[in-house]
Amino acid sequence: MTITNAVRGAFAAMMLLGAMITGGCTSMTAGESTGMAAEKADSQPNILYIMVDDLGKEWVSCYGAEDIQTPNIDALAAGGMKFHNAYSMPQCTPTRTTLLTGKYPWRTGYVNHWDVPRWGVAYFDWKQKENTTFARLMKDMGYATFAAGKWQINDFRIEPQAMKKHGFDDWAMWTGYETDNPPSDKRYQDPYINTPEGSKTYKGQFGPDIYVGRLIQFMRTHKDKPMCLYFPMALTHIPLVATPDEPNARSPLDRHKAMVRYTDKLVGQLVDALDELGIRERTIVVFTTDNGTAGKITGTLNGHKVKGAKAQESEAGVCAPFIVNCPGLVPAGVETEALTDFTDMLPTFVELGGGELPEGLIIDGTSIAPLILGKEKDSKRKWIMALGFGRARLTEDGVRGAKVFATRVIRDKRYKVWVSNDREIVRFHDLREDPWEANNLLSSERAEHTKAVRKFQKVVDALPEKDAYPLYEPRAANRWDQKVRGNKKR
Amino acid sequence: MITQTIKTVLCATASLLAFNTFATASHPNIVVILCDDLGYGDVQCLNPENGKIKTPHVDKLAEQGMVFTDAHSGSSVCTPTRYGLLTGRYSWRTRLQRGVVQGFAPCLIAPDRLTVAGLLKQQGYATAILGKWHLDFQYQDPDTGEILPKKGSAPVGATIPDGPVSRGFDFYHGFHHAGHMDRIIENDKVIEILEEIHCLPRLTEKSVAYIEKRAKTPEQPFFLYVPLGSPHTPIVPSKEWQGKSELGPYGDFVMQTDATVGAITDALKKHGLADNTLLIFTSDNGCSKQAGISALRKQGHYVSAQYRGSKADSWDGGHRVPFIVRWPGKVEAGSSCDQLITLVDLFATVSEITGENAPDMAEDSVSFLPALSDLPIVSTRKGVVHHSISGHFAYRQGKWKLILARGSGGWTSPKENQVKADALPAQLYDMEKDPGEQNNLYLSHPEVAQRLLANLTADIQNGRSTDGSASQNDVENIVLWKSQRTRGRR
Repeated sequence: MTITNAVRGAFAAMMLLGAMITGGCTSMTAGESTGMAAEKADSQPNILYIMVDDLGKEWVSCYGAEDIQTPNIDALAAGGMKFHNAYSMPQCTPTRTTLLTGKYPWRTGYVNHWDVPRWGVAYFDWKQKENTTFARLMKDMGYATFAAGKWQINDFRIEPQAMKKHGFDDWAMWTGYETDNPPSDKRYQDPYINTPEGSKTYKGQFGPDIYVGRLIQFMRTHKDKPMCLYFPMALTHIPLVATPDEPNARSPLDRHKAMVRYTDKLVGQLVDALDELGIRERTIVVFTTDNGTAGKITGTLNGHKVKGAKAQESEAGVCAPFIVNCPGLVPAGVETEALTDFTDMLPTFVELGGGELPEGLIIDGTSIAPLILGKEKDSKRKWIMALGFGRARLTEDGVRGAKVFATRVIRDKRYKVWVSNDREIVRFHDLREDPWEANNLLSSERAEHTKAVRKFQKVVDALPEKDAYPLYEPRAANRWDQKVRGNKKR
Repeated sequence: MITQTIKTVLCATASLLAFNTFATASHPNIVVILCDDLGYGDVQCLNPENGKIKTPHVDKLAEQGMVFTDAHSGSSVCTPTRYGLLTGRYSWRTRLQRGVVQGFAPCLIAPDRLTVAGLLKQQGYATAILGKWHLDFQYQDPDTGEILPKKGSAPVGATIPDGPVSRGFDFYHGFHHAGHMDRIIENDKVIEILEEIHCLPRLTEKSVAYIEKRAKTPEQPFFLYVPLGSPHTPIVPSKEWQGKSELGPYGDFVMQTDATVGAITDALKKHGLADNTLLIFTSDNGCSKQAGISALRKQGHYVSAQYRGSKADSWDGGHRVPFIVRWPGKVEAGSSCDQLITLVDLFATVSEITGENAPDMAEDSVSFLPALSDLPIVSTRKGVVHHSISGHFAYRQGKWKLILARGSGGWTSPKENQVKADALPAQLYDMEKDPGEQNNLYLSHPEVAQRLLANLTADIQNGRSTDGSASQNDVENIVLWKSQRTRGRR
């Protein structure tokens, strides 16, 4: 297939470029990981990564959200470490692929949203070693691996065992909206869920209860082993629905609030389960979200009205709530300005598990394990980055980024730049003075400003001029595949 | 290389998974419910704050499907909207340069022009129209066969040589327009005289019966076009609906219309057709003055929600219409779309769904099929043309809207003869920042106004607004600037 070769060729070029810049910036090499190297199971903490769908800080009360109370999430923050400067990506697919691989979207090729079960053609191909997930690495290190919630980067009709191939022993995932398969559009009431046994509707049940229920069941069965639990939950994404606790919620905002409160309740259920199973002290819980709130929902954060910023590169779109908690392992009551983004999770998990990154696996992130274990006061990151929103483009050659070079934002603890499709810095903000990014200081001549811009310019200069393409082996056409829209179409 | 055999096998397997009835993803049943004079703000879920009429059945559709928030009828009045919907061509390309038709005249749709119904009939669909035609036809004396004169009335038994059954529909039960609502026609014959108050119940009953009948032969997909006569005048809610809305007869009639939507969706569900039916709910233009707009406003009900004006106008209240699509398996429940579409786009959309490129003759139609999958609409059409009752043109491109009128261009004050002497010759609005069309930017953004005017002029002169083979308007001189005083002042 010429397509395969072209894709592989392009990707190989990317890897070279990538190797060059990670060498200069922030990659974690195998030698840096701790030397625990898969010793004994009891020294390997469990990891429970809870990721809410579409929710910004303006809906988490410990960050200053004023229109909601989230007591269970707040308790995790009070008893753990609350991050102020943690970047997700702006939208679903880029966030998930970044989190799973430890690579930025410009390296994975998922620089835009591509809803695989709905649009077909491309898919997150486990056969490409570049798509190695943290789950596969953790499994190799002796972890029992589990996922529940939303995946959306494979079509389980074609590959019902995709989760297994990506490294999960067991799972309960909403299938995503499978075009031509009406029952699959339900993730909440009467949800359509894929498990190792296949996909089916769970009539009369509320999806979020099933995902959590299966997760707790898995923990119960495997509590004597180290566990890596990935919970990219379905809540609080649209459709806005009433919940079992608030069945009469009618207006969009009331339903959204009900869904946030249900999210908080589920977090509480999980913590209770950890306590009950006696594994709380060796389970590192991370609470975060995949991107900001949907645009139609406005909340109040510390007196400021915040319009949902999903798919935007503003702080409300990408600076995610991020809380790490584990009594006994993670210091309690800590708030940190340390920089981290979702590329850091894979190396962090590997380090927590006492393993090493496989030789030749290029990633962009750096482990924050020393920080969250209280061994260091800061992360090693000098800057963090977020990019990837909007819809990808379908061409004769496959799925491609909407632009050759996607816009992106890069920040440190104080300053932030916005980079255009032309690979130019077009906005510069002092986040300490201007947290809502209203004043572009790019023309400022103050020494500290020009110095900061120069620093970011070096990061930009080291980035590849062209973003990668999603890497997948072409497969037989399906009738729900999106068609290439050429000039013939009107 | 993927062989044809593999493709075939995969397709066969996939279709086994999806449906057990005959209408398929490529040939779904299609139901289009077109209300008459129902304002954007008359649907509760589109106007949650200032909509006081309960529309539970339409709201339910929105929960099950996709709401288009920037959909426009081809015109601000009945006849031209219907022409555009059925042909994919703007009505102002025909002899009808303003106003509506009154019947007793040759059909506005030329005999050789393909309609949506004709196209679907070619594709093997059964096609039916139940309701208001309003595109002219002639009546023949049942005894002599002579064409009846306009001033007379059509007796029972009169035949219709150029009605819907000669324009692609297999079956017709309905009437010509509000003024002749009491003359019930079936296929090509006037069959009875019916009191107007019984019209909506009749159309409801006929729609349900049609669906029931079609369900008996599921091997043939159907197209059901239901252009209701309500809530247009005569405003005649049935006895059981009188007083229901507590807002007066118009509110009652809207509620009864909503109930008809419920009856149709119930029938689809009852016969197992809901899953493979593409259902569109919309309206032909904004709410009419006849509804008592200011009295409704005093009761807190805004018929055009946040938009300015109402039926007949160039302002959005004239032509921004409710547009909801339900198509299980294709359209995500509870979703919304803010892409700009027009009812003229039905033709190309249906063509693409059924596997045909839109024939060249649908000169102004662009498929919105990608939008149903949350993807961008691809088009060679630069913008969308609006047309008021008096023939005033307006043009929408992206966020900009240019109106070639000094006032409403319709019935709302100030009308063209009511504007102040110093009123600008045209209006330009930024619809993103100013959806209520209050801040005329015609003077401050002359380059935008010029660009839109050039595109509008080209779309008129070229005989089509999409790429395709050359096409001509039916009349030579289409007057661009309708207000005399402004002609030549551009």
